[in-house]
Amino acid sequence: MTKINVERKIKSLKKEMHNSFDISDRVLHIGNATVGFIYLKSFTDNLIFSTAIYEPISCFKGEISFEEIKKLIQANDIKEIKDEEIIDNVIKGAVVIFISSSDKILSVDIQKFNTRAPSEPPTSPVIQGPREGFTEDIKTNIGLLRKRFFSSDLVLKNFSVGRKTKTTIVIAYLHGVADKKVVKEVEKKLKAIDIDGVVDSYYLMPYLISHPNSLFKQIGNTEKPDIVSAKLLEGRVAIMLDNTPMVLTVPFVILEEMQNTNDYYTNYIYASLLRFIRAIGVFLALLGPGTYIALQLFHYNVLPIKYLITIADSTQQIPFTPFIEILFISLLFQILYEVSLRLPSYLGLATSVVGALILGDTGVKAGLISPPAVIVVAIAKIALYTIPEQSAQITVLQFVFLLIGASVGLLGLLGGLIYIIAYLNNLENFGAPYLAPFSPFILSDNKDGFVRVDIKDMKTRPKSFKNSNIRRQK
Amino acid sequence: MKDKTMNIWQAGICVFIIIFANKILLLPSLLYSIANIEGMWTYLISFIFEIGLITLFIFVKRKYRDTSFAELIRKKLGVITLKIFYILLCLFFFCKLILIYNVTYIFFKDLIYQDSGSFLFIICLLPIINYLAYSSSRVLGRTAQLFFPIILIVLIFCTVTSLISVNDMPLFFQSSFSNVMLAFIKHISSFGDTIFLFVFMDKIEYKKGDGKKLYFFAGLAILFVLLIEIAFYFSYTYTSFMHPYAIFETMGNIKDYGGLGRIDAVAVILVIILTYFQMSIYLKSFTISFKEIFPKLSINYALIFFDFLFLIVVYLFIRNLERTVLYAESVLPYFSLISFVLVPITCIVFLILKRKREDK
Repeated sequence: MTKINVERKIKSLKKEMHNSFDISDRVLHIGNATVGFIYLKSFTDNLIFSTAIYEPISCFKGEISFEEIKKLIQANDIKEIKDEEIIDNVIKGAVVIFISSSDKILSVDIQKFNTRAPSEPPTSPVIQGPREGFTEDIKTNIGLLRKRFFSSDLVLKNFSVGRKTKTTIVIAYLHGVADKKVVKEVEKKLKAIDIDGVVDSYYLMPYLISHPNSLFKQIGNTEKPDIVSAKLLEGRVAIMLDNTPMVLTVPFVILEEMQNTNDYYTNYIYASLLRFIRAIGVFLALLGPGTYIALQLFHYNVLPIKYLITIADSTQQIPFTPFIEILFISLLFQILYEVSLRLPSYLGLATSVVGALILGDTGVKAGLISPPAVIVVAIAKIALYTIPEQSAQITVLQFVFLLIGASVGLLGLLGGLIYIIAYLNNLENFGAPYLAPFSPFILSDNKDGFVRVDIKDMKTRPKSFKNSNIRRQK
Repeated sequence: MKDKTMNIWQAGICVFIIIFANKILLLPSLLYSIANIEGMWTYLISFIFEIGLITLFIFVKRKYRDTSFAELIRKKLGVITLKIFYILLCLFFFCKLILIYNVTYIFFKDLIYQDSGSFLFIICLLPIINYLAYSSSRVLGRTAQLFFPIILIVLIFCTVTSLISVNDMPLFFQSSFSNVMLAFIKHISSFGDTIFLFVFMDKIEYKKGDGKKLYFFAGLAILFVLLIEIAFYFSYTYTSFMHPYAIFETMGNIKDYGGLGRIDAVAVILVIILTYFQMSIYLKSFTISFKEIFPKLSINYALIFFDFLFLIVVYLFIRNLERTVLYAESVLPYFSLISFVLVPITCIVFLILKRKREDK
């Protein structure tokens, strides 16, 4: 058995870790043996270290051995590690213990980092239903998931990603429900990531999707454990990353954006109506301003005469073309939106008032913009947030359709719509067609599509993507 | 790369679009000018042929499940026959595309784009139909499937509002059977569209009993065409030949419907969507045929070749109603021999050969 020179070992480890100021070390001489401790004081629980590790060992009388140390430590997470694993363990919040009489090394995980308590995430507020949200601590997040599945079928696999950050990733899925091929593919894609560091789950997205240059979101993301649980029950795989409350889920289909947590905690008929309204909202947001321009510039003859007179009356004094007018109002709205997002809330409110009321009202009174144009843009921008998760994509497309409507009219607008649908039909991720269950049309999945039927009538899991067990209830 | 296939529902929707699309604008008034109200019988005759083509397709598909039509011709009739056959098909699809473009161009120009040049239409149509033709058959089928509910809802609305405008039932048997046949032969180019199924043969998933689904969609399209014809002929009766845009004209009779005003504008949306899909299906058929003639060239070359030729032809000819009608009545009928004679005979030959082999 080779003996260790504890002081020299600690010195060399500190040197390897570039003598960072938060590295702590302690040395104890007990009998003929020397015991050394090394840990990060910024990332470990000092109270546990003192009471459960340091004190019991320091109070020991007689000749101390490695096995004796193991018995004395009153912490749970104790393991023997190899020499090359010391630094990894220290930086992850463990106390590493050496003894001069043995070449064995002990690691005790006492990581502690102050994190916020689970609270309602600002991205998914609910009227009814659970308000818990994930936090930045992966252990808390795993706990939030575990308490929803008192079953050994919830499988959690972990590994780290990032050469420098070594961030913990956890893959969660339900054994016997999720498709094994999808799980393997997720694992394979995540393990193939070779990057210096990841700071948020969005960093992982490009590595998981098959069309990285696409505008459209191809991976589900949520901050709510109840949503993740529901998705796991459908046969999806969740990817949790340390230091972020955002959990990713795959496979993803666009239908998920139409569904809202509130739909499942309210009457299904009302929920169906809400989904229908959401769909109308998307179309209004996408095509509203473009259609208004197209009708004004190309197809004024298809407008009923009363509407035509109203529009003509309100636009005749406007110095700009309809396209410039709508573009100006849209850009103004977008600027106000950006400002209100980044300013503190009290200032954000003030800019909203100045922007929406003063600029809009005075713009109309000054004859720079017409009331119909303000109404059209306002409706389109409000409708944008019927599906807030897709607002970025719809905003981009809104400008594209605006340009198409102004350039080529209705023929171009419908052509653009067909193009987008065809493009989305080209997208597939983890074997799931992006537009399923609408195209290809899957009848059973449409029970939770544009309309939602009662929970007891949803007998099967989605067929839009593969899963191991299709039946949910008899 | 193997083209991804479409399922039978999607193929059925394509059949619906192809049968219905080019029969609701110009054709009713043209048929009336030859056969009066008996122009409706012309439709019935053509639909018998259309159903016949679908039946032949189902028989051939059943017997040669995973084989393409080109592969069948190559094996049974040789490579030279294959090349000649597909050159003719390419020409057929190209000529049909020119016809559809012109008919819809005149329609749009008259009704919603009075002040615009023809370049605008090409800018809108070509990129979209090129993209759909470039994508796999599955994407084309799925996109059509997603738009089908919209097509159906708008169509039901158009048909119902068209039928409301019907006043009296006109007198039948004003024209002779020979006129009905003359109308059919003169405008034969507007029929026989389901020929595209043969070009798509290996790109359609087919299981036992799927034939019924194709008949269902074909029947639905025929029903709608007939209802719109009835609405059109029964509304205008003796002046039908003066109204070129059947579906639009009948709806125009219902003014200020429920305070909505110009509801006939809805028909424009229907025509636009149908035009995009109809042209895309034909262009896809063109590219598949082109690929059979030049197997080593990629689909991009087929599209470049088509776009180039299309632009030249569109700029040099037609673009007015008289010339379009002349083109449809004098040039195109010869190409229709492909769908009404050549393809059916070839299919019958294949079926006989298969029967003989099975008997042995």
